Amino acid sequence: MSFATPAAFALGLLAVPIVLFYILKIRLRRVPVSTTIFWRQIFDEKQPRSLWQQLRHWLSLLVQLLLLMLLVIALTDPSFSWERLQARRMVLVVDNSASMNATDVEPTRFIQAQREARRVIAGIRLRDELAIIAAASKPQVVCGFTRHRGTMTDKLQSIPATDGPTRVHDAVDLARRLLGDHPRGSVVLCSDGCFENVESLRNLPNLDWRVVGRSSSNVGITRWQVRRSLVDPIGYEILAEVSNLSEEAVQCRLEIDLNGLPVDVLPLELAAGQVWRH
Amino acid sequence: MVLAYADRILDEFPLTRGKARILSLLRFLEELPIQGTDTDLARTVQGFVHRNQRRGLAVVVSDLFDPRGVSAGLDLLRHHRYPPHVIQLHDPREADPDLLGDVELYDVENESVSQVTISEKNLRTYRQLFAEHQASVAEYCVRYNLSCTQTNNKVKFDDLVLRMMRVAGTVR
Repeated sequence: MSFATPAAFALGLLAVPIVLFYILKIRLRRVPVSTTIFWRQIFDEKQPRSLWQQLRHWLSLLVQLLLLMLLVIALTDPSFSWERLQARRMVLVVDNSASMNATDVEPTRFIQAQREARRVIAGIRLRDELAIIAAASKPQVVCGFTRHRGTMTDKLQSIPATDGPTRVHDAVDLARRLLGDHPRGSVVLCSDGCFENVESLRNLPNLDWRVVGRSSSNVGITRWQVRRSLVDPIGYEILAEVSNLSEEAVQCRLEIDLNGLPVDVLPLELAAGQVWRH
Repeated sequence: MVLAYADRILDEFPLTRGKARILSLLRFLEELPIQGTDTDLARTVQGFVHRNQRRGLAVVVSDLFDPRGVSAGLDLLRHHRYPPHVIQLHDPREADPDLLGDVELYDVENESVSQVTISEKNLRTYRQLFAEHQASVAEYCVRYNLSCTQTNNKVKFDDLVLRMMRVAGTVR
């Protein structure tokens, strides 16, 4: 066993005033009475308990000293060797990209991911360390390695939902670099899996993927670029790409507004998996 | 005749008569020291009734905190034709003591010391025992048709005497 703050043993000296006050306390207040015949009737009936009454005072002192001892030991922060050897190091990667704002699960995928992350935090053991990374457009370490659950929870709550793209691969790489070659290192990923090359992550060792959300039909703008027209000095050219990511054909409209005024409305009929570019 | 007693007869004001002796009697009472140990009425009466003297009314003024009980002493007085008139006095703090927690009870009569822890329950039991003791004295007096006055020491002497006279029907 080793102690993080052995200096706290000095607080054991508080036992001295406790014993002193105890000795002072047991000098009972003397009360003159005209007779003790009634008191004797009361306390003589409890004669079998007299041993307990004598012990009770000693027990109260022992309980006080025991409490002090426990307090001092707690302050020294003792740790057993097996605790240190079995301690885990975890990195929690929370996906806060745009797809996490989907409401296919109540209330949103991102809130579900935070709940899942809180369950991971609640499950860490005494000597485990955990760091948190937000995996939006730029992976960011929002909480360095810590053992303090309150800090983890606060930092987790501070991660905002964004409309940015997903950088889960970069975030997982960053997490693995943070873990280094720790023998009990692991990455916990809370994401909906809406990013490219998902299968490569599934095969990674020591990656615990907590999937949030479920697959659903989705049609989205997957490319968008606006530039000045090469032929019209006051006009603009728009490159738009719309993908039907569902397994069914869909009919939809692409509406383009400029400062709230409609510029163009294009009716689209897209087969399953079709990509429309214009 | 006035006898001062505790565990036995400790002092005595001899048989006297006439108002002229009242000052001597008051001086005797004022100079009477606190003495003796536990109250023992039976032993006291034993030493009194075997004297060769005239029979008459015996007025017992006491708190009657007799560890052996008061009935033996009063029985002796009755049997020897000294019908007792009991005046039982107590302090209000004896009836309702303001004691709680760890205390050392010092009995001023026998100088014994008891270390006890008094709880609310103990206090309730004490008050009950005290009330039972008072009631037992009153019941004894009623049973044998004896005069009995029970009061605390906060009642003025004049008021007490007046009350006794009213009970006796001497005044209205």
